[in-house]
Amino acid sequence: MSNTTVPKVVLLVEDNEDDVFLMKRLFHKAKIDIPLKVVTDGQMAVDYLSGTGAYQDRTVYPIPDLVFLDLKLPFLQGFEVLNWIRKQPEIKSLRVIILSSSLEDQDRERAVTLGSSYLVKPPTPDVIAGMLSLA
Amino acid sequence: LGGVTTGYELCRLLKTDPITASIPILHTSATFTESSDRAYGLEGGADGYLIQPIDAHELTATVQALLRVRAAENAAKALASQWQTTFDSISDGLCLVDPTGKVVRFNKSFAGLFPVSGKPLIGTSLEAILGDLFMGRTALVSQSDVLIQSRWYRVSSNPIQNEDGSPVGIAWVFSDINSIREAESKLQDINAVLEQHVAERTASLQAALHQLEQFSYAVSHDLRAPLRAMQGYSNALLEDYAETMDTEGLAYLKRISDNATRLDKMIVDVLTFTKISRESPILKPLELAPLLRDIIEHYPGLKPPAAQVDLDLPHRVMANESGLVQGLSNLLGNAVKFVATGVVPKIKVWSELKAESMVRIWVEDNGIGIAPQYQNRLFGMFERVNPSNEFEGTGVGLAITRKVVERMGGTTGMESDGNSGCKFWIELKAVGKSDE
Repeated sequence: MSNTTVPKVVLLVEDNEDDVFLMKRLFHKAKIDIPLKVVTDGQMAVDYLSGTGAYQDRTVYPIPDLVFLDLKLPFLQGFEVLNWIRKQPEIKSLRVIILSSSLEDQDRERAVTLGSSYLVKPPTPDVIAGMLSLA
Repeated sequence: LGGVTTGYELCRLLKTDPITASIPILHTSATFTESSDRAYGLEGGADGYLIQPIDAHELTATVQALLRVRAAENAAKALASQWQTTFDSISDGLCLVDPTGKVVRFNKSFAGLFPVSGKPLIGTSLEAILGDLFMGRTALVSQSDVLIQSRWYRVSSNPIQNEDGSPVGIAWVFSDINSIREAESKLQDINAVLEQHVAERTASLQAALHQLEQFSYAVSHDLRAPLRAMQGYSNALLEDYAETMDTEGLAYLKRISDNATRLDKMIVDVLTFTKISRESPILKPLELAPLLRDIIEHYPGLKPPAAQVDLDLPHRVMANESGLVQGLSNLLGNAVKFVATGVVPKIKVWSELKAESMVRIWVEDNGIGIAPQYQNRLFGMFERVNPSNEFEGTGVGLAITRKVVERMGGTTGMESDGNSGCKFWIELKAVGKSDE
């Protein structure tokens, strides 16, 4: 499931606009020129990934090959989105990196069980570059 | 002989009156000499019969014999009465039956339990008296609790045997156990109430624990988010606008960033503390020396030239590895932190066996020490006894150490005269034979 090639499109699922801004700034500062698409709740993430609703146009909303996923989200929670991804035949092996402020062991264990990496916020340029196989 | 015509008639009258019945009567007569007449007199209640003329010796001997018989009778009566009184004074109902099951003897309590009108109890079959309570009992020892006249009795039937082992009868005992049953029932009621209380308390504790977990989760996610933004934006300012700000502005910005970082550390420490509080660590035997060497290896601040740590740890303890590492790291971290400017921290860590199979791990430093009046506050939450502008820290480290050691069944403490360093200790269970 882990794919070490450089992703073409990255999706960030994050409801906190500061975290979104700081991630965009991190990409910019670290000169990461991979397109960073953003959705701000769990349902939007599902819609984007399944190409439904507002996200039908794949030229504008291409399928990402890496997802940064926050855990605490409006509507569908991060783990619900992750569970859903793992059940979709086309994207079940999608690289997902949980990005959370939770230090709870159970969150980390659950992420690993569902085939995802786990990063504690705030993300640093080095770590993100590593995750994107750029370092 | 007055209105009474014969001695026989008088004898009969005297013997039928209870007051005079026990007076021995000796008939004397010359008239009747036939043996049938003697029999008639004796049958009438006379105790002896002498024929006139009476020999003086014979009279004396006969009277003495009569008096001896009377004394023996009185003694026997007294004994029987004594026995019956004793028998009746027993509060348990007692009843003896013969091998055919007929009542031979019973006491007052038994009669009170089974009031049978008209028919005498003696000679009646016990089965007929007990009815359903009889329950097919045989001569074997058996015991059961039954309700009689709405009180509880414990019934036991005990076989009585001759010396040769042949059955003579059965002794039935009816013991009043009503107060015992009532006490038992009360105890059961109390227990039920108590269990109810325990269940309620447990439920409310679990609810509280659940709330605490939710609270920790909320703190972990929601309270730290704005802090992260503060750190993020102040770093962005420092990186992107440093050249447009003067040194004072930059210093203020640095303060904001440092305080956000410090608050985040405090929150993380508090989360650690609550996490430890709700975990039950699994204890296993641990070698102290390699554990301490490992801690020192991972903290540059504990190695030369930053500090010098001497180890003398021959013991093993029952502990949870991550918990003990956490507790000891905090002590070692404090030991190197609280030193006067320019002093190289020198730390001694050693273990000793204490009473009741406990091992005490000492951490002695050459730091600034802690005055005795502040020592009792040390292990509390957010307690700092040193000025915060000189020494960094959240004030939660020792609270974490104490909590983690408590969760492993141990204790913590410290000694200091306030001048020449501190001696902190952690006491944990030694490794026993059953722990291997």
